[in-house]
Parts: sequence; structure tokens; C-alpha cells
Amino acid sequence: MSALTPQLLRDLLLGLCLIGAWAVIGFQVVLTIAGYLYSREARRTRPPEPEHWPGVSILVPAYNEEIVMAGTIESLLHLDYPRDKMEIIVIDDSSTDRTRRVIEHIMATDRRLKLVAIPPGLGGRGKSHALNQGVRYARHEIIAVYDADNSPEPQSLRMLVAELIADERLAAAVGKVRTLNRETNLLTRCVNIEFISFQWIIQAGRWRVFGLASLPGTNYVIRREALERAGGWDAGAIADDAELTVRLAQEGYHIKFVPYAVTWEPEPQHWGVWLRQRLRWARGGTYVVRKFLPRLRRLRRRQLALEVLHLVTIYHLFFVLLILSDLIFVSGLLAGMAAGPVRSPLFALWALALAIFLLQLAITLAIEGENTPANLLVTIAMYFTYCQMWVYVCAKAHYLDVVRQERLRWDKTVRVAHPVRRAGR
Amino acid sequence: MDSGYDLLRSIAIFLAGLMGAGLGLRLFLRWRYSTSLARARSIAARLRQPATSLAAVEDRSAAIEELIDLPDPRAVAAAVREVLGEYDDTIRSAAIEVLRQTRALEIWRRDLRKGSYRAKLAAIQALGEVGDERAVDELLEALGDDDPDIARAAAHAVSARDADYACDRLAEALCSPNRRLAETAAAALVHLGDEAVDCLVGQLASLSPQARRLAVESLGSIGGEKLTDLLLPLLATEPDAEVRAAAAVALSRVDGAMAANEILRLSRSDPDWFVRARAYSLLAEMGAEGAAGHLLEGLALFEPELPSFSENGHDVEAFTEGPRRVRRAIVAGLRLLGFSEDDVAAAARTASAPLLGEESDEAAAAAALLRHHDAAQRADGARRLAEVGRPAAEVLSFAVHDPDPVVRAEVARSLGKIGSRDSLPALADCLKDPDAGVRLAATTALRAVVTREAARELTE
Repeated sequence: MSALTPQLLRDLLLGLCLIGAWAVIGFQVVLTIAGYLYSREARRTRPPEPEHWPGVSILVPAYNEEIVMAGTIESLLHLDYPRDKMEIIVIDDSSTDRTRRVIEHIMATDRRLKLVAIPPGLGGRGKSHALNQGVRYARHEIIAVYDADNSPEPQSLRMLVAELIADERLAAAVGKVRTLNRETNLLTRCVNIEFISFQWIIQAGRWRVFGLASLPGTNYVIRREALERAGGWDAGAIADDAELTVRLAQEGYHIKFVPYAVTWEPEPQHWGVWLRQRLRWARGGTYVVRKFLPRLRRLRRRQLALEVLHLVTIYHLFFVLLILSDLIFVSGLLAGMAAGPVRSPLFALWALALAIFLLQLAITLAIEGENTPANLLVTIAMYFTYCQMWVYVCAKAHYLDVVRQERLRWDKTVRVAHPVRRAGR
Repeated sequence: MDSGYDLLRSIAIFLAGLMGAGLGLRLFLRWRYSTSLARARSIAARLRQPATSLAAVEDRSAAIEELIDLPDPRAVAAAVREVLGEYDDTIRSAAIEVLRQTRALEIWRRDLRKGSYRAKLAAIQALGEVGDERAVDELLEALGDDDPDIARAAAHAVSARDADYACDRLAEALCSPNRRLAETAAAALVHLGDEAVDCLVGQLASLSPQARRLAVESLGSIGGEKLTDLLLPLLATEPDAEVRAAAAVALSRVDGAMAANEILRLSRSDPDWFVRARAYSLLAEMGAEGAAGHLLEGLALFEPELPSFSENGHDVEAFTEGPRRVRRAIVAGLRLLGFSEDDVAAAARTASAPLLGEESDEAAAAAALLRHHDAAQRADGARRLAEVGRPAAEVLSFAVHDPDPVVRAEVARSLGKIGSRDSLPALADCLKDPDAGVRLAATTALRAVVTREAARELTE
């Protein structure tokens, strides 16, 4: 029996990590294929339009949104939905700028627009709290949620509602989110590619395989009855969407991804803003993991484990694997290709994993019609730049949660002015 | 390590090969199209020859046949489009005939429905140049496109050629269930201007409230001398609140003094809260004479903004519908007229001050009921104020403009019971009330006031 040398031990550990990474990669490949198949099905099959459209209450939480509020309201008022069956409730979460004036100015011209004003002593507790306040005043049985910087395409609400009412098993139907300022700089290009790949791999793939997409925080419709049964939004959760997804699934509901119901929103253009946003998402995801991981075996539906384990994978497991894969790459470069501490098959596996990653992104870009040479080049550069930033995000999130034990607080994303979206381009 | 490099190298070569093949195919297709286009152009040039002899007519017919037989309909369509710009109707007719026979119209229709942004624009331009009725019908569908630029281009193309036919079809489209299509059609009619007025006036009698609203808005944008006569009656007779509001907006842009009076009446007596709120906003936007006074009076009509919900001692305010929205519109209007936040707050406090506070508590309570959101409570308040006597006459006079006819009738009856000469002007207003019950109550009340005043003078 050969001795367990340090080199052998190191290789064993690296091998185990690569097996773990390949398990995740394999799962992503399955989801990518499923997402591609769903993209073809979704083009062909649409539910029939109902004879009588149900009423929809659109909730828009807003905090200091004077830059974007007017454009968003304009887009919502132009949604192609029966006027008498739609109301838009903007929840002003004690804004200190001119957000309320902007809303009141437009309210004077359109009866569908309504305002719920949360006073300073009660406000600033995050999006979930604002939504819970606003839903009290909703008149209709279907609730739609949009962020204050969104420009939904005119047909998107109709499509979401048609899908929702066509299938009684559904609690919610979620649309696609696209990046309005995708060509502004390298960061927004990377975010655009990330969003496209997330939606076609995770959302579309999971729906196709497991019948469970995830609420995205904006551009979705939900049955009021389902929302009430699940207990509303969790005011303590920053990632209100992921947390509510688990509770809805626990009640036995499905959530459908509807890729042709599109909204456009501007994404962070500066690294500082991006980091704060992703930190909020990471910490929000950890909150959901902590809340439900201990109960995993008791969860009524096994697919629920999917959502929780997905969050574990992204914010915990995968960033460890990313660090290790970086180590393999760097040590391979430093040690030389013919000799050194890393055996050649491991490096080949790393290279293959990278190729699969790039291919997955290329496929999703092709589905979206954005497989331009520029985007494909950015995709290659993304792995070595943008993706590596997740190491910092996850590490800092863990530091704040575990070491500093800092309380979760809602951190608003800084807005940028944007033109109202032109569909089709 | 070699295996890793070999793998990457193989993948790179494979991808390069794929890209090369794709590029080659693209170049070949482009060359083929260019060749077809050149051939089509050379044949299409023969269409331009004046048909002044039998030989020329036969040559033109032969050119049409050759174009129809060419294998690439897109190239034919592109070549023939260039001929559409000719002024000679016979040449244009020949070109349109070719387009019909070669399915070019169907290609453009397909591009219009499913093509890229550029393909859609090109199809719209092409169909606009064709300009006949069938092309107009194709373009009308594009008015409802998701992209507002496409919709606007289609609307422009529709109105570019046959204005009469376009007006009729666009006016019919105002009641389309596709709201965007209807709104774009309305914008196209506005673009046509005076030529579209007759079509729009016809839509004022449409069964569809959407069509009536869009017709009113379009007429308001077009303007003109006849507008006031067309729209004024709508304020009283139109059953749909949004159409009445649109009519008020349109009038506010046209005729200053008369419009202001009608909008003022609307702000006080329209049964729909949104119309009243809009009317108050319009008074402020118009800067009408006495607008500030009207808005301040209006502030007194609605109860103070009570919180909709309280949590931990903090009050959430909800401005969803009804009197709260009207009051909010009045406050916004006062701000627009230059009232500072302090002025508005002071005005609100004054307006909220108990009416008849210096009288008994019962009188103040009855007066406070006049501001209640429930009409039955307001009617009860009016009945109780009759017991207060003369001091209540002024407060009741103000309430003759209540939006609810039951309340107005009760106010008139109470004024009759009080019998004060000061309430004569208010009762005279009630004689013009649209509600018969109010008019009857006012007639009886006037008789009572006159009789009582006469009796008082006789005894003095």
C-alpha cells in the first residue's frame, strides 16, 4: 500500500473539489438543455386569451425614486390591459425627495394611479414591509409587482395574467427581466449576460424540469389568495422574492416562467453600486438558507429543497469551488505545463469546465438573439473578471453575517436616469 | 498537459471552421441577391417607358411577366419599389400589379408581423408607397405594434396617401380592443388635422366609451372653432366619467372664460369623484380667474384627511379614490397656484374648522356631517341644520352644490324651513338643477321663503 504523501493528499482534495464542481456543472448543463427546449416550446404554445380579464392591482414600492418614477408610471399606464380592470398603487416608503410630488402630479390625470404614503416613523423597513402595507389597499384578486425603475413592455401584463389563470396550480407567473443600459460599459454588458443566462438556465430550466421557477422581485403576478395563504411578504427578508418562493412552494403551488413577458430595468453602472446590490442579494440568500435549511427534511415538497440548495450552491458552495478552480489555474500557470504540483488531467478538466461554461452562456445569448461578437468576447473575459468578484461578495457576506453578525438592513440601489424602453430593439 | 492543450486547440479549430463556413454561406447568399436585384432593376426600367405606342404597351406587359417569373421575390419587390415613385398612374398601376402577383405584399405583411425592427420599418415604407386600400389594411394592423416607433411609422404611412379612406379606417380603429392600436390611430387622426374632424365627430356617438374618449381627446388636440359647441353638451350628457373628464381637458385648452365656468360647475356637481378632481386640477392649471377661491371653497367641502390605517401610532395615508382623491387634487392645485406648504396647511386647517362652532355643539355636529363621505350622513346633517335656524342658512347655501341629488333636495327643503331671504340665490340655483326632485324641493322651498318673508313684513 503506497504511503499517503502530501502530494497525493492535495490531489485527492483537489479531485474531490473538482467532482463537486462537476456535479454542479452537470446539473447546470441539464438545466441549460431544458431551458433551450423550453425556449422553443414557449414560442409555439401560448394560452388563449380569457373572455373576461380579471382585475389586477399593480404594486410599486418606491423610496426616493424621483429620477425614474415618471418614466415607470408612464410605462405602467401604457400596459395593454383593460383600463377598468387595472389599478396601480405606488407605495411611497417615506421618500425624502420629490417622489410623492411626481406621483400626485400624474394622479391628477389618471384615476388608475393611487398612492399609499407610509410616514417616516413607519417607513424605511424595506421592500417587503412596503408591499405588505400596499396590498391592504389592493382591490383585485391578482397582484402584480414591479420595481420603481422598470419599463414593462405593453403586452407583458396580459401575457402573465393569461398564463396564471390558464393553470390553477400556479401561484405566480414571472416574466423576464432585461437590462436597459446593457451597452453603457463593460460592467453592464456583464450584468446583461448574467441576467440572460440566469433566466434561460435557472428560471426556464427549473420550470421545464421541476415546474418551479423563482420569483424575481419584479415583473411577476401572484394570486392574492396564494399570497395570503403563504402569509404575505416576510418583512425580515431582504431577498423577499426567494423567501416567498419557498413558502409558496410549501403550500403546494407552482411558479411559471413566462419568457415573452418582458420588463426592462437599468442595472448598476458602477462597481461600488453593483457590489452593494450583490451583497444585499448574498445576505438575503443566506437568510433564506438559514431559515429553511434546518427544516429541509420536513419540507412538504422535495422541490423546495431545490430552491434552498440552489441558494446554498450559489452563495456558499460554488464560491468555494471558484476559489479552488482559481488556485488550479494559477498554480498550473506558475508551475509550468510539463512538470509541477498539478497533474495534467486536472487542468484539462478545468479547461473543459470553462469551455462548457462559455458554451452555456453562448447558447443562452443565442436564444435571446444577443450572440454578437462583442458579447461572446465579453463572455470569455467575464470568467476571469466579473465572476471572480463573486468571491469578494460572498466572502464579505459571510464576514458580515458570521463574524460581525451585523443586522440585515435594506440597502437601496442607486438609480440612474434612463429613457423609457423601446420594445423590439 | 499536452492533452489539455490539444483539446483546446481542437475546439478552437472547430469553432473557426464553423465561423468560416457561416461567413462563406452569407457571402454566397448576398452575391445571389445582388445578381437578382440587378436583373430585376434592368427589367423594371422598362416599366418606366411611356406607353405611347402599341409596341411600348406590349413591351411593358412583357416586362411585367418577366418580373413575375423571376425567382427572388424580394429582389423584385426592391426593384419595383423604386418605380412606385413615378407620377404616371399607369406606371404605378403596373408596378402594383407586379407586387401583387409576386407575393411582395405578403412578404411585407410577414415582415410587418414578425420581422426585425429594420424589416418592419422597410415594410411600412414599402406599403405606404403602394398606398392602395389593401396596403392600408395591412398597415392598420401595425398600428398596434409593441414598438411605438413602428406604430407611429405605420400611422404616418396610412395617412400619407388616401386621406379619406384612411380617416374612415382610422376612426373605426378607435374602438379596437387593442388599446395601443386605438391610441395610435387617434394620434394618426390628430396628424391628419381638419380632414379628420368629421370622422372624429362621428365617433362621439360610438357605443364604445374608449372610442368616444379618444375622439374627444383627438378633437381637443386638433382644436378649432366648432370644438366648444361639440364638447360642451358632453359635460352634462355623457354617461362615461372618463369621457367627461377628457371633454373638460379639451375645453380647458380652447375657450377660457366659458370653459372655466363649466369646469367649475363640474368640480362641484359631477357625480364622479375623478371628474371633480380633474376639474379642480384644470382650474388650477388654467389659472382661471378666482381659481384659488374656488379651490379653497372646495377644500371646505371634504372632511379632513383622516389616516387610512394606523400602526404603532404612525398613520398610513391612502389616496385611492373618492373624496380623499378630490381633496388631494385640490391641495395639489393650490400648490400649483403658488400656495406654499404652510399656506396650504393653514387653508386646510381653516377649512377643517368646525362650522357653526360658535353655536351649540349640536349645530357644529350637524354642520360637520355636511362633509361626511357618505351621502346619507350629509342628508341627515342638512335635515338637522334646519332646526338650527337662520345661522345655518349660509352653511346650507354652500351645500346646494353637493354631488348627490338626495342631499341637494334635503338642503333645499331645509332652506325652505329656515325661510331666510339670504338663501334665495342658492334656491334660485337649485331651480336649474338637472335633478327633478331637487327642482321640486327648491320650488316648494322658494314658495315657503317668500311666504314667510311676506308674513314677517306684514307683522313688522
